[in-house]
Amino acid sequence: MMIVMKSGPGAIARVGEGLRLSAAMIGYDWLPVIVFIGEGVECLREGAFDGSEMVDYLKAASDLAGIHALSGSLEARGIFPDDLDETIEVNPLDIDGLASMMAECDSVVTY
Amino acid sequence: MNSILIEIRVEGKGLNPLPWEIEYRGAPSMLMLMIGSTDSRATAEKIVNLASASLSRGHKTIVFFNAESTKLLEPGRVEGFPGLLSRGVRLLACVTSARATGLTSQGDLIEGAEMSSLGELVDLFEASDRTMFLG
Repeated sequence: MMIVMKSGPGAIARVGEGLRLSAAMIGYDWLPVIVFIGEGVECLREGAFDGSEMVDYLKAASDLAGIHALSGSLEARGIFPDDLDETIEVNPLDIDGLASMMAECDSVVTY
Repeated sequence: MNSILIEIRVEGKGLNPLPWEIEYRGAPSMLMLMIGSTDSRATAEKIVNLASASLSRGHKTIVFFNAESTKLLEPGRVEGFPGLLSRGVRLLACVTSARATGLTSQGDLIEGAEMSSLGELVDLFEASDRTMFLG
């Protein structure tokens, strides 16, 4: 399953639901493919969720399942590697890579 | 030359149903999982219409309400839900989301709906033949 995060930090409840679902899946040894696109890449900026449990969810997802971000979305927002939270490992992904990963997933959910 | 025919069959899901799963006009009966995440009128309509269509084709149907969509399970909120429940549809609410939207106990939900968890949702992903995210 692919979890596409397209909501930015302003929609913290929606982001939280997506990250909670990814945590539940990881907890059951069902590793999701997690991709941040559009406004969602703002969630990966340093300090986007300071003091929030979202940071812990992101770190866990990064360590255990891996986190991908659409490179076009990062570029469109002028987000460079140095702008990202250094505790989260983010794998940039181009649109062809995203399409390939999506094709391998049974279902895709967006938050 | 002798030959051996080996048939490998994965039973019980999707296009390889067990005989007892073939219930409706010869079509396989499937477990359909629908997931809502918003409390919009459009989401409610999609759930009622798709679940009704699924039932009419003999499929077992479960709807999981996540995030804001748990509000749809407030008594009297969606006219079509009692009918779905009476036809055997399970309506499950994520307990964490329900609490966040002010629905703190089973009694706050429409009669017949159940409190559930994301853990159960993950189990349902595995058990279901089709999963639909309805927004």
